[in-house]
Amino acid sequence: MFQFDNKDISRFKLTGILSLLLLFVILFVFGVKYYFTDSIIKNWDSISGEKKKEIQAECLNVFYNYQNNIAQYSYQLIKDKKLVSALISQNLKKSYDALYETENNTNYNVEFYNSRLELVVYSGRQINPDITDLKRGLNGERFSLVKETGIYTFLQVFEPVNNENGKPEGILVTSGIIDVNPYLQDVFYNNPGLKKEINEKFHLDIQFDFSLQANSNLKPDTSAGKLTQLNLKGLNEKIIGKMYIPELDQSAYMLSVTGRFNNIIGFLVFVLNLVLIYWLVTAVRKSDSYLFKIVSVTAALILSRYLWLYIDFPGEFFNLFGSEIFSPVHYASGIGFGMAKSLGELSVTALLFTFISVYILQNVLKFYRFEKHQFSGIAEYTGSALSLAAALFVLNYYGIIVQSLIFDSTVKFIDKTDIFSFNQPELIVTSLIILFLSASLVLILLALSLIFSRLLIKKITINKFIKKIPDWYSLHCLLYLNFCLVCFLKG
Amino acid sequence: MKIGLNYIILSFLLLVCIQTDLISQDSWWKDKKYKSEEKQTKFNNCKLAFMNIADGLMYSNVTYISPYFQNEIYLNLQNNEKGYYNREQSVYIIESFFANYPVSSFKWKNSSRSEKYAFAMGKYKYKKGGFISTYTISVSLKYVNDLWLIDQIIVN
Repeated sequence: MFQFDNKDISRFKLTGILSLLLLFVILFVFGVKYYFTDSIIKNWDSISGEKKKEIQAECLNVFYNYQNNIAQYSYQLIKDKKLVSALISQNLKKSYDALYETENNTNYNVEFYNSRLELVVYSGRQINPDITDLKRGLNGERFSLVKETGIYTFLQVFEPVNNENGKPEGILVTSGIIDVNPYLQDVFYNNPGLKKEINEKFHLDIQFDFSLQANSNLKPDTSAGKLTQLNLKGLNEKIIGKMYIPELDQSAYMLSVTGRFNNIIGFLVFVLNLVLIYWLVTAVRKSDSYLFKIVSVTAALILSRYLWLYIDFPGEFFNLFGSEIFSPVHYASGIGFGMAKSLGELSVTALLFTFISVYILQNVLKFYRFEKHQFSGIAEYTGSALSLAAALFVLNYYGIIVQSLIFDSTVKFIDKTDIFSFNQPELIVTSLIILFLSASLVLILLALSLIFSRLLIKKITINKFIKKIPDWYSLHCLLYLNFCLVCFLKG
Repeated sequence: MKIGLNYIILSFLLLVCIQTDLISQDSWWKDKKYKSEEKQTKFNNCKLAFMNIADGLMYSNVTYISPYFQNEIYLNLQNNEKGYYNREQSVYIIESFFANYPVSSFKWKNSSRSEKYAFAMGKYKYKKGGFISTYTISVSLKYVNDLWLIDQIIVN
């Protein structure tokens, strides 16, 4: 059945060695994964301690970044001679002109109070700082505070404004929003805010307590586990609030570590699978039977597709890079037991089917041209009937997929001027999927019509023209038959 | 005699505690007695639907939830585009949510119900990046053709 020459054997040896090497690497990664899991369990205290320190420093860093930005803007204002002289002279027009000339003036709120603690100028949201805090500022102290107003959490920087003699003439209060109530945040506010920023970075729910020490009766929510308390210091190094960070969870940490190893293993299994497919295609090429070639390669590719779905490759790989093409948000269908669970998966399936169609057509063409063997009458009729049934199945399956692409997706197909829109990349992917599926449909139909004409049409001698081009005639026959069948079933 | 009395008081307190614990299991659902049998069954089914949905969320198994899907469901899950999705798409979107945010625990916290709609809100604790974080999941059901079906699922 198979006739291999020396070149083939050396090729098999090479692919065999490569496969073994990959298998060894996969087993090695498995070993490393179990070693890591084991060492996480054994050395949990030191690992969690290290990680805790790192995350605590990062969380504090996020807060101090906010504070530094506001303090920097406040410093920039106080160093603006034009603004300071306008504020001291209480010239409103000049003050506003100078204020609006500064950079980032829309990101922060500014209030200036004179020595009698009367509001002179304000820009942005008015925070109404406490009188006691204003007095502290007027005494020459530069400090920061956090104020919560129900919806917003503001960080305020109090900066005394001195005259040429160094005597305080007023107080400049610069503030910025550092956090927003999460329920309102998604709807009205673009900036992430402290809690959301930390959540997006580390996936941890931190809690704050900016209440005054006298009123500090708040107890943090400990339902998710133990919390670590960190003190937040203002510009004058005094404590202005508390941050509560949850402790690292062992099972959650193990899950994230094993997840990374699983991604590597998934990629290696995918590469090994590709090597094995190449090995199979090379081996099968030497077979005498066209049917064996087609069936074995098609079966191997379809099984490989399910293997890729099982190891979630390349979906997981794309998700890691933040791509949404493998997310079911744009399209998802149960067709093919998961083969079309997202646009990305369907595009991989479409590509694979195009490859299978090309391979089938290639072999059918060889069969059509070079097969001299005469088949028995039963074999001819069975083969023709099977190719006819396969053609009808493929045509209808193609219809189902295209219909599902429209009904099971949230892609906007309506705008005719937006066919190749870069605002909607999923539409481009959908178009490519339809293109690949249509190409494979045509190739498969052509292959089936060739089989049909090779086996049967020569027996039907309707006229000379048909006899000359039996394959085209059979292709048309298949299409008309499918149309009639659909009309009959719908009717 | 004194010791005996102490034992009686202690066992009474223990019984009360166990009883309270039993009741608190369903603290999210306030049982009411309805005049008609039909109405009682209707709201029992509603509670059953919420409990099955909770099981689905607890075990990351969408097959517990999918029987309650109506043809179009409003989904607003984290990192996903919010909007109406059909049944099949919803199944895969929820599956992908479970894969991205592996569950640690789930519990309903409160609920409310009326003739046509029912609503429940719960805490979904998930494992991500080495920490256990919490999302609030709210599910609203709609009473259609004698069945309680999911109208909306919102994750905050």
